[in-house]
Amino acid sequence: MQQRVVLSHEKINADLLKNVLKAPFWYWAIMGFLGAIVLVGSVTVAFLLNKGFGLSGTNRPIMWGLLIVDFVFWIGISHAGVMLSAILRLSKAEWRRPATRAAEVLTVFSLMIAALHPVVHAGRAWRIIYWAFPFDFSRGVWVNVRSPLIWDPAAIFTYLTGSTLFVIIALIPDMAVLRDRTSGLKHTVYRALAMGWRGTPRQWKLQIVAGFLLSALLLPVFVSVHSIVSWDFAVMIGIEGYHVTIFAPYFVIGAVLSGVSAVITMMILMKWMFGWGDYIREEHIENLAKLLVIIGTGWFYFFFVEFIFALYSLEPQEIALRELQAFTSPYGYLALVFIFLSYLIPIPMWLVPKVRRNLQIMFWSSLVVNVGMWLERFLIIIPGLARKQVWPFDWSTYHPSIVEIIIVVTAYALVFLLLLTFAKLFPLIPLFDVKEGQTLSDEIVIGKRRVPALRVEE
Amino acid sequence: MHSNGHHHIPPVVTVQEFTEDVVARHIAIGPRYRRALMIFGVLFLLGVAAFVAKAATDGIGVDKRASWGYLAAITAYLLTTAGTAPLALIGLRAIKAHWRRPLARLAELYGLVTVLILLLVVALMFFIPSAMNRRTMYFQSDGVTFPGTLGKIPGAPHVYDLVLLLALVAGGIGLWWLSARADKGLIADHQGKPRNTFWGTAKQWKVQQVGLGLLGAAYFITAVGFITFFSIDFAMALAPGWKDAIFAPLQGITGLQGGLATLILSMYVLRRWGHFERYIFMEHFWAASKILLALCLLWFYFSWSAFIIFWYGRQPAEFSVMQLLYFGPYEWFFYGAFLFCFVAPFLTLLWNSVRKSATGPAIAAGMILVGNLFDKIRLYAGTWSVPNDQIADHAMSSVPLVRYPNALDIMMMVGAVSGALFIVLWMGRKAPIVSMWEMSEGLRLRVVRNFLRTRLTVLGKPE
Repeated sequence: MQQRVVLSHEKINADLLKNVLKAPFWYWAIMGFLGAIVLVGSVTVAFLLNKGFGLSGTNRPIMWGLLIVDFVFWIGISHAGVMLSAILRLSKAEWRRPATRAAEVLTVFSLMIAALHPVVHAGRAWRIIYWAFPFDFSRGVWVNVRSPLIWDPAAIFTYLTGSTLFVIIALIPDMAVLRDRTSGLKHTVYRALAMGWRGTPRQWKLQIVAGFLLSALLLPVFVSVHSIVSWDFAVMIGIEGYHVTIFAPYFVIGAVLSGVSAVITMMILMKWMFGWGDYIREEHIENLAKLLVIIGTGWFYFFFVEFIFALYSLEPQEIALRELQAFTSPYGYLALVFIFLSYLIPIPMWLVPKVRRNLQIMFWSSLVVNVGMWLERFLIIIPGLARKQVWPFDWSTYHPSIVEIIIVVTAYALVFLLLLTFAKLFPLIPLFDVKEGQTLSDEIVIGKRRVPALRVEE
Repeated sequence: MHSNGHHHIPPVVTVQEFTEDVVARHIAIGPRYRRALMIFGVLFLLGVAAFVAKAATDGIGVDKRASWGYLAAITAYLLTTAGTAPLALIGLRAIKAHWRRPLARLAELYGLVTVLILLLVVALMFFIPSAMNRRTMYFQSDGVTFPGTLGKIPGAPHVYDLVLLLALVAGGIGLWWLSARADKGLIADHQGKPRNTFWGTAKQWKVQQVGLGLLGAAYFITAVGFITFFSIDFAMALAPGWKDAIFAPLQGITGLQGGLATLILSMYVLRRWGHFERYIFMEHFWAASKILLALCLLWFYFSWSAFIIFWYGRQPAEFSVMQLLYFGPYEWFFYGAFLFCFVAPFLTLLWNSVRKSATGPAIAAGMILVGNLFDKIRLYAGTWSVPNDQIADHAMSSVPLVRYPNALDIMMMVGAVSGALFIVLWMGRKAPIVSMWEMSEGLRLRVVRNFLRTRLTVLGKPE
């Protein structure tokens, strides 16, 4: 049942700004811990760039290892923002309000981290500019514009630019609130960021229109980003299990699944860490879980079709690949873990309303979905490469190196570090959005019952 | 009150007024309705006659498949228009969108068309060979032609596809029956007749609510499943070298698009010629057209995803499939499908002023229904013209020539569509064509109030 919680504007400002204006001790402890991990990771990357990419341990035939798996994973997480913010804004779902900014910010930071992975993976990172920019820098040699690897940077940076604009536009009214409550250097910075916001009707109208326009414009970009990432694999004809037409929507829907799961994890953490019980309620998590049941089931359908179509061809190589993925150690064990964690455990659980409203269960189940989805990307990328060329000297299965593991862990730490930094500087729940929700909520009486209602703008 | 659908605050109607109006319309059948019923009935019978004539002249059998492609096309067309119309309602009920209410009963009526689809699919079964030693969803081989398969599954694909379709038919009938019984009881009250089984107790309403939810979910899953199997077994598996994992989901998206287009057009007809302007207004077309616009974009996205992988890979087997479906004998059908399923409706629905009207979305819906037909002809007439002795090959040795429909094909196609409309209109006499219980629920949850210096609609959200 939808709860109608009446909150005054003063209380909303006080609750949602308290961590911006004054951070508790645990905040600095966590920042220190994450900073240490990022420092270790940075040193590792510097060492890698100095000594050469061979240190990562990747070699024939598996030239794409954990770094590429992680790249695809973080691109996937970045799809949370547009899904929750843009799509739910366009469909005017009321329950989006506490989730939008967290999702948008997660998008921006996960995109930034994802973009770093191929830069590091290039080995000679400084040469990436010759490859990614459409220009004949030297010897009249142009980039291969027919390659999805060239489309990737364009798509990712377009999405990053659009998402950043999206965050900034939505932040402006809240910057004005902070401007009016701070002094000194903070006041100067927030004043600059508020860009002269006075809350006039015209400014509100422009802000809303900009939000809608950006939402609509970002939608095709969001679809294109992960589609192009999927085509990095799907256009290849030499690797079994890659040349599949369904990769684009399969990757996109998988991205939405992992992104929205990550937002659930983040929102529950925000509720626990910042004490935002009045703003992030069980009904918000429940609605997100219902959305995930539908998305998860859609994803499972795509996964089923993708797997089945390898068998449809009745080609021995394709069948051998699926046997390697599903029945051969270690990939077989990973496949079992992946399918249980991504779908068979969480989705049936989330069909039960009591489970959807239990925050502990939702926290852990949303976390395991992302563990499963990370394994899914691993199982898509690695086994196909393992069967690409069976060289006599390559007798063992792929084993990630310590360098790759450090870089992957650093990526997670960096995203959380950036999120916590953002939480210290800006409110993670949009103040104006919550206040708007308060203004639009109402009640009607039907018979003896008082029913929560919504004022609808036509 | 304006009747052109541009007024933003909907007309204020009480539940009493609505009930009396709809009951009166349902009891008194107009001459236009009777005429439409008769015309569609006659056209359907002509279609049946054309089928019998074609069977007598062209013959029936796996080797005769080439000349029956248009029957397969129209079956697929009905499946992805009328058969998928309930999916739009099921989705909207799941998210509790208020604007679904006027089109609820229409969608349930279209679900009854699955009975006709069942008859058509049974007829088509005679042209589909066994799944043994060829590419299908059943992976059957003798172990010599293709190693590592599931051996032999008796009755594949015919039996299992039919079982899935029977489940779909049961779901479609169940959805309509469960929803209609409340209204049938109300109509019986007004006619002074005894009620059958529905008395409106709290338990019965609860059973209806839960039943519609579960049946709806089952229908959705079954529809997607059957579209998957039908599109693969009746189209893709008949074209050698065509291995396209996205094809079945693309047909699902086409189905959603076609189903919603069917509902929008039907809503327009109901408003314009059924004079339901007080209950079907701009808000419904506006909301539906946004989803239709999204589905048009999805159609393009899925189609492009399929195309780019084949085009990029330049594999000989895939290129011959592209010749058959895009650039060869059926290229004009492809252009028609592309134009009417994507370009034209997209450019139409892009404009807010078009979406905020009744006519604009109806025109876009009409275009999509035309495009869907072109698409099905391209897919089914094209793949059915591949000679039977080639379907197990690795690739097409030659692309078959285009087959245009003859008079019998056209009569069958017109007859099939007319049969679907006949079922909708005929069953529309058994219970009101607008769901009274659902609309009454919506009217109780909607009030108009003053807010600051304007008037706003306030929608109750009991869930």
